[in-house]
Amino acid sequence: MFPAPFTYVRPRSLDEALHFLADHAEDTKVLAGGQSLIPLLKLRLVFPRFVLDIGRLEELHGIHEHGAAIEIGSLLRHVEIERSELLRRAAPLLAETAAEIGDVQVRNRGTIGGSLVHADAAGDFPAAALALDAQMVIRGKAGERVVAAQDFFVDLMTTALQPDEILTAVRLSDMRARFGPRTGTAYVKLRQQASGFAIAGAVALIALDASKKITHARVAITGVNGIPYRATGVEAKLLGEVAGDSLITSASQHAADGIDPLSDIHASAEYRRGMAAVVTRRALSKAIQLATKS
Amino acid sequence: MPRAVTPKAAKPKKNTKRSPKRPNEKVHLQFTVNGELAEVAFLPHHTLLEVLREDMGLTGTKHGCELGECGACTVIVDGKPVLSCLMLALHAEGREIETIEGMADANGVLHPLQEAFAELGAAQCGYCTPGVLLSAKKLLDHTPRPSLIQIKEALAGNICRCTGYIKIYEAVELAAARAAGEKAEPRKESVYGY
Amino acid sequence: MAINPGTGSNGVSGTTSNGKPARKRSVIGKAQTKIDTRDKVRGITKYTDDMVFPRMLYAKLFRSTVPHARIKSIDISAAEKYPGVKAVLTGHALPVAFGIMPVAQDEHVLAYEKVRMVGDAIAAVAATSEEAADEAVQLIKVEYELLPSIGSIQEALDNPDTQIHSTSENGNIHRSIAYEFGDVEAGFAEADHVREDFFFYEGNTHLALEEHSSIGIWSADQKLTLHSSTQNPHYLHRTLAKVLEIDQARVRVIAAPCGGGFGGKCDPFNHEIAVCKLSMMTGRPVKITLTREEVFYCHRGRHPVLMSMKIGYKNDGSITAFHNRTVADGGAYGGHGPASMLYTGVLQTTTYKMPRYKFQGARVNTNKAPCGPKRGHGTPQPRFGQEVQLDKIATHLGLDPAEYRKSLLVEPHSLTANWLPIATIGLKKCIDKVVEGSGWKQRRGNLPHGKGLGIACSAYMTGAGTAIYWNAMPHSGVQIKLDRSGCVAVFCGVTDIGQGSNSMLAYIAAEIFGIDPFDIRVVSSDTDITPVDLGSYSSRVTLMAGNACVQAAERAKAIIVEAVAPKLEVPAERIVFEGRRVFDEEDPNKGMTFAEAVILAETQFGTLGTTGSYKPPKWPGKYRGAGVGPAPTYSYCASVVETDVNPHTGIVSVPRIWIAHDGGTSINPTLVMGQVEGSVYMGLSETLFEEMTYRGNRNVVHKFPSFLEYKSHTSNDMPDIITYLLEDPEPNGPFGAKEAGQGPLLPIPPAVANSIFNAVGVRVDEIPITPDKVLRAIRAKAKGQEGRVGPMRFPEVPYPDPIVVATPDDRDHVVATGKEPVGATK
Repeated sequence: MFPAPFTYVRPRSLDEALHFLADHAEDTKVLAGGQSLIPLLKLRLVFPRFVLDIGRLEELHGIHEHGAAIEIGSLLRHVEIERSELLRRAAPLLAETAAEIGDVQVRNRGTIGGSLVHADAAGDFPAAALALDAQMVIRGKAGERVVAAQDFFVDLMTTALQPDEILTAVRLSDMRARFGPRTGTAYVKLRQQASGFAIAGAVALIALDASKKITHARVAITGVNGIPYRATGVEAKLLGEVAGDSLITSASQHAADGIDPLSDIHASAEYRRGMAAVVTRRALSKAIQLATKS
Repeated sequence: MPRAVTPKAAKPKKNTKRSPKRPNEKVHLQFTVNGELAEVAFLPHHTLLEVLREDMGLTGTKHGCELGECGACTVIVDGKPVLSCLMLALHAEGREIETIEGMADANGVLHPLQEAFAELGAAQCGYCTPGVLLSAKKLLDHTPRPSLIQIKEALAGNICRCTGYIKIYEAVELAAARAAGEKAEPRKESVYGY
Repeated sequence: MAINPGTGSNGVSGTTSNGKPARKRSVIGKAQTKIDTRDKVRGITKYTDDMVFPRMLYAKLFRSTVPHARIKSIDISAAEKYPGVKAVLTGHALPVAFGIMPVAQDEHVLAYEKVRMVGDAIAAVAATSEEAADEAVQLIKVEYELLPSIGSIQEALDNPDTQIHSTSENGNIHRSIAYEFGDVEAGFAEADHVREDFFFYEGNTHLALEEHSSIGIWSADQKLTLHSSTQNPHYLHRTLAKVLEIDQARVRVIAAPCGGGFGGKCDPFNHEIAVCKLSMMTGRPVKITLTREEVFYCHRGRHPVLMSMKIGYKNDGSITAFHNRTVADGGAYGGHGPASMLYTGVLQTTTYKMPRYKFQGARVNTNKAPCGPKRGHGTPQPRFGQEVQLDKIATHLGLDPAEYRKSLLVEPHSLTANWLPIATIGLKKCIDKVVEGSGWKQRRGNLPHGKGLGIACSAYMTGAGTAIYWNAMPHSGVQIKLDRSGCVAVFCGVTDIGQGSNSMLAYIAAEIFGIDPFDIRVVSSDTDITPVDLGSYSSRVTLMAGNACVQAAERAKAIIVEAVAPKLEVPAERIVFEGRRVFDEEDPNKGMTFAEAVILAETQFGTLGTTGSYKPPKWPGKYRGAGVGPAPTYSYCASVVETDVNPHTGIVSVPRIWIAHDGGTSINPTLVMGQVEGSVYMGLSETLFEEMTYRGNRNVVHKFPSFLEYKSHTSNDMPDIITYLLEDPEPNGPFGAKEAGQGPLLPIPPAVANSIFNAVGVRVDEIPITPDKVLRAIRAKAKGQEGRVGPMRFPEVPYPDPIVVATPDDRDHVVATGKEPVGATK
């Protein structure tokens, strides 16, 4: 099983990559870790003339902390995110999410940028990015622009990234600096056996005040819809309320409000709708527990 | 792992829509494979799996699913197990690659994992075995005495259809014990039953 | 009816031929390393796709993208001109139809009149590189005249006029059969209760990791060699000669080391024949390795089967009559289908006493990938139904399901209602083992809601009693060559598909010659060099090839003894082979090395070589079709499965499985353990995840046939397995051995289903048992409806009139009393 032949291009710098893209955007696919792109090439769902391998661009690698602001290079691999001390402290949700992806081999090669740009309906990082209000740092020849996660995911496997642009980094804030000291996060998914993709996955971020009243509630769902989405119905029910089991249960029922769930061989739409509520309840319960402890 | 969701824009009509013809020029590169520098010429769109098997004759690394789901093509690149079917060979330029052929020592003495796999029948048809062994080796490099849960997690990317994994877990545990200097033997229950 | 046990002439008896107690075995029964496994763990073993020959060409097949159509035209002109292409082949050149069973010759190498499924091969290209062949194939143009397509059992029954094969019995009913053993209606009349249950078992596939690969080599000396990843080189050999219209004597098939079979590499495949023809056209070796997508088109996996089981039983649970109706979705071609269909019924009598039995079976064609033999061949489906139904009866009568099963077991050395000869049966012990191990009595009934224990049992043939084509020759042959080097070479047609059959032969020969298994060279699965063995299917290899090996080795041993005894001046019966020496039992110092003994024999008798062969006993049934089902012996198995069922998600997790297997004496218990564990895994994975799914145009097109969509258990999903091997010797088996490779799969699906019922009180009468279905059943139950998901009806199937056969007990009654029994039939 071969991809259609292509010309392989390996730029030495981000600028060189962007220059190349400016001239060949429509004919080029950007290769990071390859865990999503290579299968697409082999299945001949895409047949670009050029494959632009940005995998070695050091400028897209690494995590930087400026006060409460954290910038994660788009080439950071899942395994690196999983093991990053900084992220475990400042954005434990990302480390937890990374650990839930695929298997060891995939985590060793796959990158956060690749995962976000691929925008799989059941991807793990997109939901986390939504819940954390991550900002996507995008570079094109014209310069840099920043797109909020909320606006980044446009449709099934379609993002706001233009063909001549590269996602260079993901920006987010230290969770507690942004949402307060009593903040907890959790990612709970029902895995599709074998691939590990979410049949339904929920990311929850909950911040409490001293009286256990919910000051911030963010719930993002993956695997249920064509694109990950914020479960605003759930969030609205939680905000300003005192965290408790019955609240969580009743709020979770709104996890798939207004959504027409996917139906495929792994699960029916009806099952996904039900499971959206179940994973939401579990994620909320875990997030609140962590928020209470911290 | 990748997931076969078709983007709305691209329906999988792979027999109809063809990319334009392009010259198929081979690239010449050097890799370090199993500690030996090798020079090889290959087509740029070929994966590391194909280059290892077809251009270098290292057929111990196997095709299983072609799409990164089965783990039969696992090799170690710069110390990490990766799927050679999802890695362009060009991507591996200048990296250190280890395949199953390099797992025994320089005198041909089997790695304790290989010996334990042989002893316990953890290789039945043997097709997934090279990939499983390399994943297990990396596990033991980092975690010399892994728990069962750690073993399961480390091998979750390697599908085996013969063994039901049980003998594989037991072989990893046995090899780990031996590597730690213990005079370990297979448990009676694992070779004779309860 | 009681029958005689076997003769014990094959190393099993407790005494030697001179009446002395047998010596302690040094190889058989001991945990051993396989003789070829170190090459596997080093990645050195050459599977077919690893082989390269000088000037080798690569082949690709053009495959249909439509499910059912007449072919109007095939244009290969552009492909022929593509750079690197050396030959393009279409079906007109190979008009001879084939199929593994003589009664189902409905396949062509390349379709030229009609395609019957997405993936049907239409043309083949050989080129200098795999990519050139791939590119050229995509230049082939085929014009189709589309036909309506059939996507399910119901559609096949409803649309007899849209006939997929003109050779079918009736519309789209490929084959059907009906038997009645004893008067079943009289049996129902005798019963205190009669119930009927419907079950469905979805199709699934082998998913062997190795994709099928073949290399055809036509020599200038007019001889053909095929290297292939096949389980059955012998049947393939015959098919090649037939379709290529060349003399069988000029065809050689070498089964390469096989990267997983499970039944998926039993049929002769079109790609295997195509590379031979392409090699004949080009004079160069031609290789094809299928893509994973193409392996899904080859399929030959588990048939989807719809079942109706009607059973009559007394208040104590004893069965008075059983009526089993099945209809199987065979997909586009016959393959092993006629046998698969029979196996959905014929073995139902081998476990529990069933005085009267009626079986009606049918197999329909659909425009889907053809089904065939997967581990358990046709029997996991009815076994699932039968074991779940027994569980329902136990619930109804308030009986313990384990004790209930024990009360029903067939007797050893007896005949079933359909005349199958039961030999040894260790099932009672198996049940006791898993009941004790799982804490069944203490725990079941005291578990929290959501946690359950379920039990099921099974039986499986140790080798089919009949060859696939009719003949009276041996089913397995072994030749042994010994020479002055001390080397023992064992030649046998068996195919080692990872189960360790080569090692099994080495263990048996080593035991008899008193040498180390690694002293033995096993040469297998090469039709030019090795004696015929029918192949690695129906769990036949250990018993049949093993018995042939015992015979050949004992004959060679006798020759050596004849040379050694006079030399040592010791009576022949005192000569012992042990520890690589041949010596006097009473004075072990009096002896010589094994190699010296061989030299002595070679000096005295000339070149040394012996043969052994095995043919299963003639089956006792005298009715038409009585040859399907009898086996030299049956293996037995019992399993308890523990489940955790989440009532909110319907997800079933299985923390632990206990399984006890009566596989006779283990030649190498480590390998038997591996077969049991592998069977449990495969059974569990197909119970919970695996299914062949179709979508689109009337359910006929695969969606991405790949590992992406076809789910199977990873290491993360495997429970603990607690295995018990019974080790009770079977007189008919070599050193007492029975099968282990298939039987242990069978109890898993029903034990899981029964465990789920114990956990949450719902029935999923359908495989796979997905979370979706479990949750639906739980919700239905919560609403006060029946907590069940499964088929609600069984279709009208035009079965033929049953072949009416008196049961052995009916016959006994006539012999004893001279009177027809009440309700007896002839």
